[in-house]
Amino acid sequence: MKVLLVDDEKELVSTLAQRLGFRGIEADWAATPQEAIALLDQNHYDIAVLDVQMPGMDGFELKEKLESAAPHMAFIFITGHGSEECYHIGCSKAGEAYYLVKPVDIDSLVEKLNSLKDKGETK
Amino acid sequence: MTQSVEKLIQEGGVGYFGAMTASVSHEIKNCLAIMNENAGLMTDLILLSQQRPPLDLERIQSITERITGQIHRADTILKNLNVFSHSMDKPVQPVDLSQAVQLAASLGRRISENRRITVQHQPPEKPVEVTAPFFFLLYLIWTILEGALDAMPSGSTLDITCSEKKGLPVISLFSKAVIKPGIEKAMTLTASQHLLTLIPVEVAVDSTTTELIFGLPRPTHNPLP
Repeated sequence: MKVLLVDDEKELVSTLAQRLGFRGIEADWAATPQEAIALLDQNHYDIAVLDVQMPGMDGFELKEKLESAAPHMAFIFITGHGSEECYHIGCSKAGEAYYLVKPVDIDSLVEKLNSLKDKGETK
Repeated sequence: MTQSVEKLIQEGGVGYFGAMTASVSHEIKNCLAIMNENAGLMTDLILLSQQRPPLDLERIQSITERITGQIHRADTILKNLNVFSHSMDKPVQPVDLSQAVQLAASLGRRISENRRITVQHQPPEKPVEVTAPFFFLLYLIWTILEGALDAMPSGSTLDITCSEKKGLPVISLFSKAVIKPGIEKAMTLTASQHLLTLIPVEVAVDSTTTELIFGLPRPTHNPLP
């Protein structure tokens, strides 16, 4: 399983990638939606973990772009923004189980990644 | 009823308070998330070193430095939030305009960043004082800033300064990017009439510098401490 992590908080996303690596999950990271799109051009990813609120393009919009380029991908959203509206949009885009609020528990994230992989939701 | 509530939220500044606290809480969440990941990474490295010693002390040090950096970041955000929360303590008070501009821009930083616009504030050489309802002054400054953000292209920079011109406190906005014509009218229309009654503001455009200039009322009493 190969994962793409996208969050404008570089320290967050780079550390998360290292921790997933220790758990046997290969993860690349990007700090902007543009970097993420560029990475997808050159690599194959099964799952993308996207921050909801990012400068220039939100995570939901980025999902549409990544999905059009790689329809097999599955998505998990993470957010620091707990508004009800955001929650409903996130759940409708990824399913309630795959909408996580920061700070994220690594074991919970790994469980969700494995669950998506086992369910074959990475198409 | 819905219209009355919306009017009250807009005119009373409740909507502004909500937008700023949402922006600030989002930033604090990010600080906590980074500290959480770094603390977790340190635990991972310690557990790993028990199987494959030694512990990489340089790596641990760089992680603790990152955590300390985030503690300072969160502390600054919370200090700003605290000043903001106390901005309603007095109906009117002497305010350093530059500090008010800095605070208003910092509180809304997440919003300007999401639009990919950098707001740069250059403090004046000497303090510029206004006497105003502090909370509503912040609301007015944010209304001015947000109006400018709406009129600017993504990826641009907005410079904001304070000065005294002909004895009047003035906020000036300048950008190398194109600010849509007529913005000064749009911005004063955006600010509710209630807000403009509390803090009458004169708007002008300097045709030579293309600066947008907001003239505030002259300070009346109670000089800055």
